[in-house]
Amino acid sequence: MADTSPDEALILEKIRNSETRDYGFNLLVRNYNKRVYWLVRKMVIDHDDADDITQEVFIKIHKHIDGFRESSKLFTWIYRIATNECLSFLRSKRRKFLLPIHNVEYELGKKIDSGAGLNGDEIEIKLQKALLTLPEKQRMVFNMRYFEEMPYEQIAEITGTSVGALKASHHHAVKKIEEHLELNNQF
Amino acid sequence: MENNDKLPRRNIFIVPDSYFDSLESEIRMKISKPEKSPYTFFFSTRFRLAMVASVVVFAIIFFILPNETPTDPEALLAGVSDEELTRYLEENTLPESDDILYFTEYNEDEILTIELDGINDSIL
Repeated sequence: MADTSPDEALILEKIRNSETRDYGFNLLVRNYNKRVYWLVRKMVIDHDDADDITQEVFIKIHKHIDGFRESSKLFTWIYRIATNECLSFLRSKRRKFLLPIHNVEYELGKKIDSGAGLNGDEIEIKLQKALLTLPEKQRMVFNMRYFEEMPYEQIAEITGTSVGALKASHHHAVKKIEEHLELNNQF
Repeated sequence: MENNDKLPRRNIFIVPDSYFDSLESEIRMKISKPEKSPYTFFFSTRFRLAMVASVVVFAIIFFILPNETPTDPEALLAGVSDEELTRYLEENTLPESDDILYFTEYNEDEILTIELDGINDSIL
């Protein structure tokens, strides 16, 4: 059984008691909604899509919370559901429009170019567009590591990948982004 | 880039005002809605009407329609006159066997005589 932070332990205790279940779940939503939303938003770029996916993530958590056996931290479990939802959303988008991979990224890039829901300078925008050149899973790992400064061990638990593979993947991602930005004279 | 200060780490995405408050209540509202049971449909009025309609259609096909259109060949032929049958057989391109020619050349009395002759022969 993984160690749970006091917050997690309290949340789980409340959820497992039928009298305080709703209160416990509200605590869970309040505790994690921002982190889940930002994880999702950085992947799907669009606010409305991120909003839908975030809600779906919490609905799934609510549905399956009784099956959570604490073999990992609650936070890790929640993040795993969120990453899976993001990846399936992007996959379904690709299937729906029968688009090859670069076209989905092109569509996301256009959303960044439109500037809607963004408040960044030129280099920040260029960085976000450079991130879209990475494969989805690599982009997700990069976001967790670079922006959220999450430990590799935690990312490994979420993604079910070894720490070594994550480090190698992150290294390649950084190289690709630097090259992309250099090509566009950003350094 | 682990220690790369050239790149910004700031979150540049923005959300509508008080979005996270509304997100909480939106999620709460969605999970408090009773989930539709997969069995609900089977007890719905629409399902019951569909079942009644299916039974009626089934009854029409298997119990009522056969009385109107009998499939028994003998029953079907009973309503057709001998002349019509003969004409049909003559007009259609059935192979003309000796048996058909034989029966069309004799009337009933002749056939009966031939049969009786045969019996008498066998008795004798």
